[in-house]
Amino acid sequence: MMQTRRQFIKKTLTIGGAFWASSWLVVKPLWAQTETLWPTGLFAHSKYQAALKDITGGQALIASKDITLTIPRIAENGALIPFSLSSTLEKAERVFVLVKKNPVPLVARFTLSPQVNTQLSARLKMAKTSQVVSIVLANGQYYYTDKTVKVTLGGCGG
Amino acid sequence: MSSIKIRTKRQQGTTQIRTLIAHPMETGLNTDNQNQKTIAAHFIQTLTVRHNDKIILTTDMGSGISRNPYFSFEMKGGEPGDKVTIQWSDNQGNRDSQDALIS
Repeated sequence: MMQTRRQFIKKTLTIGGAFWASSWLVVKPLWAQTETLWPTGLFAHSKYQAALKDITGGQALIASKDITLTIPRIAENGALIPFSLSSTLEKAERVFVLVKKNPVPLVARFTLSPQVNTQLSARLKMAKTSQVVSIVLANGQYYYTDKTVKVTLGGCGG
Repeated sequence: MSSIKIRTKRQQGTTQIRTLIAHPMETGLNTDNQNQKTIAAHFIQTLTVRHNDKIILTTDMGSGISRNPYFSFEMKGGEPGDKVTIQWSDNQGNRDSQDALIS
């Protein structure tokens, strides 16, 4: 079959266009998966109570013994405080870590899939002696446990 | 060189994933001693952990995480040769990603 030049160009354009369109359809969901929006509001400079309300939406916190927060009682350097958190609560979806007297109280928000155990550790900063609160969202309820960490800057005793 | 180091360790039925990222994590509240100017905020906002290209954990963080962040997570299962990917993006639009195989 003979093709004119005009027909050939027309064909390549249609096939090429279809290819582009389909590749976009494939690429887009992948992109959407990688782009999770960072919650600006939650990480605003605010007081602890306001930050807490933004997280829970006013829902009451339940004190829980099923969350273990391991953090030093006295920290010499407020810039680097290791903590680890574990919980035996079923169906934990989210874990929040807050420092009450930090300029930005919320330190981190972990979103867990069922494949991950509630067993996390990281390092956080503290401006001064304060309570560290860890909140676990499980089954639509917010459970918490807290510990006070004394920050001694320059070893002069807070 | 990548800014991310990943170590994985298989335990009984679980895999521990540890990561260390080189990042300044500036709060935007500190002043530079040299010229008394405020150092611009520069911190990681989102960290994503994938297991065989499936997201298993995301962490949103503020500047309250220490400089050169360290994290450790525990995953159910995990076979030798499985791929673990860690990706971060910060408030200045930088991003990095690193793969590691479970040994």
